[in-house]
Amino acid sequence: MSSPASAAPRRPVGLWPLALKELRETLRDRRTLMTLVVMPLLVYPLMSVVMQRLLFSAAGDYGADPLRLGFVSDDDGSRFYAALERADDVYRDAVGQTAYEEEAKQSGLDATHMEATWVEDLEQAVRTGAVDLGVVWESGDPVRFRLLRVPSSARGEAAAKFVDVRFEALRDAQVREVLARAKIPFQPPEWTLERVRTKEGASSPLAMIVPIILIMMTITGAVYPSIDLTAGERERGTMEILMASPAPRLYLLLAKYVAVVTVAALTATVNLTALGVTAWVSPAIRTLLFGERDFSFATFGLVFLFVVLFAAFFSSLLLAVTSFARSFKEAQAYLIPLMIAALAPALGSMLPGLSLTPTLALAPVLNVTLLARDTLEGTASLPATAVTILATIFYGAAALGLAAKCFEQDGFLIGGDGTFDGMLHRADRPTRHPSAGAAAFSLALLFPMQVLLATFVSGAIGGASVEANLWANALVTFALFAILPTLWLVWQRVRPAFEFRFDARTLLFVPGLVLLALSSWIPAHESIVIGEQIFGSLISEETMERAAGTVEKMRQAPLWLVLVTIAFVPAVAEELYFRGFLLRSLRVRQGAWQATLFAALAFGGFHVFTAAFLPERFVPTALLGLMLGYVYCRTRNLAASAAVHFAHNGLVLTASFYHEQLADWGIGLGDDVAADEVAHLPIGWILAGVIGVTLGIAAIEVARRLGGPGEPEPSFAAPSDHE
Amino acid sequence: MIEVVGLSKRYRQGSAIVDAVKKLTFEVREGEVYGLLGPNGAGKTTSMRMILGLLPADEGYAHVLGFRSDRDPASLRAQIGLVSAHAGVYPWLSVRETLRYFASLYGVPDRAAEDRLERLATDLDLREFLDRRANVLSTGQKQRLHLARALIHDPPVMLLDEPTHGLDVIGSEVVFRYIDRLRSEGRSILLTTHHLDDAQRICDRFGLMHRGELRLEGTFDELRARSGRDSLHGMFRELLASDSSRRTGVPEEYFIAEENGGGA
Repeated sequence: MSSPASAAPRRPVGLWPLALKELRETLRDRRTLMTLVVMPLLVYPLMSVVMQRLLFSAAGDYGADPLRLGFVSDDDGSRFYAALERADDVYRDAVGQTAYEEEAKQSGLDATHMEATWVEDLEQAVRTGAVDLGVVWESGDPVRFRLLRVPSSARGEAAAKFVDVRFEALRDAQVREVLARAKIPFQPPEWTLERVRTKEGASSPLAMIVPIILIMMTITGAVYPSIDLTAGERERGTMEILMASPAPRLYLLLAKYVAVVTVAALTATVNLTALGVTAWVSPAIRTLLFGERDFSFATFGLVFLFVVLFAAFFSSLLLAVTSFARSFKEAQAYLIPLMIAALAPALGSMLPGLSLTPTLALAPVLNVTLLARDTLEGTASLPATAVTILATIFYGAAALGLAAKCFEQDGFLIGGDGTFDGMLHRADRPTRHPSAGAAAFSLALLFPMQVLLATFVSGAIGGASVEANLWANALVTFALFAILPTLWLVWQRVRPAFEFRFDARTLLFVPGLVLLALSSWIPAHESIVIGEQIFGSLISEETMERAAGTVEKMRQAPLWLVLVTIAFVPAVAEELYFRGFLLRSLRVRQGAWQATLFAALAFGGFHVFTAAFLPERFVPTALLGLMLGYVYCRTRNLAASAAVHFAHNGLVLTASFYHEQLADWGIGLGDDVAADEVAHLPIGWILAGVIGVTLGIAAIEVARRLGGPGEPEPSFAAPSDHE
Repeated sequence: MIEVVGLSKRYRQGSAIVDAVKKLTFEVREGEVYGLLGPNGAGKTTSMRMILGLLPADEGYAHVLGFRSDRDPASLRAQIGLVSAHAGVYPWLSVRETLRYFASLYGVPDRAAEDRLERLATDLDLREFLDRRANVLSTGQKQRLHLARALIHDPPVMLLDEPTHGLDVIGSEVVFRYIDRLRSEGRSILLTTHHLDDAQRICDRFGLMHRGELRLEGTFDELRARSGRDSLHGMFRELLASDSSRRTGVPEEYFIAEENGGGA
């Protein structure tokens, strides 16, 4: 070998080979295969047998095994059967031949399906189960007998019920006959007992156990690989050589994450397949899952997606926890409380009458369990589904961010206290930008807070004055998107990102910004119209009416107040967070366009979930977010994006205030909620809007070239392990 | 090739601050084996981790082929092959899969990785184990796998942290012979070991660490002239005896055991 001056030429380290190795290691391990394959193959058939027993016993179906009736003598048996035969005839006449046959078919019981047994000690025979029902015959005229059975015996109960209803029918018939002979008119009371389900399409309460088992099995599938790939590696001594490679630590973590999620998803797949096959071959399980509805592959597909989503969330949580552990044992000790914490809400989902509201959809584990239940029942609602999906994604991202932070700690090689200390340690020096993990945390924190606060404010002061409502909403927006992120940045010693600068370079951008501010509302309005046409069917009448009412109420307030609370405060606060915090932190690891797009999607997503669920707001708000992100990236000045944001909101609100006047001028805008149908703008306006936006962008590009790059952005370097 | 400049690391132990490594400065030249020696707890492993950028130094840095540990740790690591006494193997991967995996971690192109794998399999006598899972290998075979793994990206610099840990005499001999060969290929090697006799035989220069400090440095002849001792064992005893008022708890008998061929 020749003397190497430097190592062999390198190519960029790819994520896939790293993930492939983790998967190969994990899937070859017998312990993984145990939870992945063996457990589901055992659990569902076993569950099927148990459920079958439960359902059959509830239905009173005892198959080919005849019920045993016990007597102390032959004579007693003969007399009883003779009386029962007479009572059975009367019962058949009373309920009708069809109902009689249907009942016999469902229960599998008829008089011939009972076997007579003669025993000396009848009570003892009943007690030991030698006979299902003991009959003590006392007299033939009038008929007098006693029935003995053990209350916990479903067979005894069924036999007793069988006898009971027939002799009741016989007694009724005899009473009627006597009364008829005496010519006494008699109208007996009649009643029926019918079951009312809590929800349309809801199946048996026992069906609730199915999503819980699915969730718990998926968790079980993810537990072993998450421990093995973190604490296990540390214990084996392979973590150090892994870290000594030039591969970014984030990639090492993501490779492990891919492996854990894949195993969890495979576990979910095997479980759902086993469940599906069991449901396919077992009518009892099918009835349990679908009630009277048809078996549906689409339903299974949806449940699969939700369970995989849950797997993605829980895997990141598991990795975050096990990354702290020095050994397998220590990791197991950490996971026990986590598993209990996960089991509690899952079991809580069995509480009767518990339905998945948007607020409840913020509760991790519980939300996916309830969503899986509602999906199986065919009763899932769109708002709750959307909140569950978004919340689970944000929580998962936050947990992954925590794991990434853990991987980047100085003490990570050693684990334990060293890692904990590093996590809690405040940065020694100020940094230039928030971390990507901070972005995930902020989303996981702000999203549920926004949904909860919006719901709370709407409920608490919904009846108060319009002004109070406007101020309350502005306060919530400011607290969530300006104060909380600022506190975080101060704590993390991140240099303030809030660059509201008014320097010479900014002035160059003014023409472009003005053009964008004046024209962007036109495409925004058109996208609202299109959005309502697409999503209109998804919005309930109640929501539409409430939204219309809100706009009408808003018009009662002075315009300046509306502009301050709905245009100015959100423009400043949301720019601080979505561009000054979220976009900046995403830029650490992503390109400008990716970061802008993601921040815009989050911006759109947050605007869907206010006190009401407004999916039609997503597209226009996300488009606005794209434009504001573009403005921020080009100008590197929050004042610029906030100004355009304010102008956009302000123009739309002002137009809404003066919609009648505008309508008189032939411009059908502003009436987008109050009117029955939302009108497109005249084609001339649309063209003007498109030209305005295009010119605005062109002017900003020219200004950027004239003004130079401006203040450098944070070191948006390629992924490195020391960020 | 390796330049260590004022590396320092402090740990907090309760309310006290402990200096794990203090102002460590030395260099390892091209084609040289440098023995960084010292008792347990001297700070050797911590120093190696700082050189690799696995532990950020409180002060100082390491410089390897133009890359600094505090500025560009990823590029620096790409120049280094690490063999550590604490390292384990991936039990469910075969030797071939392990080597391919590390080639991908170091960004070695597929073709080059296969060529390198074949050559290392021959050089380290691993050919017949290539498709065997790592968990069934003997200790000696695992150690050869570690060497192959550390060399898969053909690094100019090797950090060998007690590479003969747990090996018998024959196994150790194989490793030391291979180190000799690596030197002849022009690689720079930083070696820590408790096998002082072998170190004395193979290392070109030495750095004797104690309590996080480099107490003596130079070729064997220079150390002998400076310390007046004829063996590394003697130098160590001298070092510990002179520091008896601040004993670390490492018994002198430890070195006597080493002298007699015992392991630590």
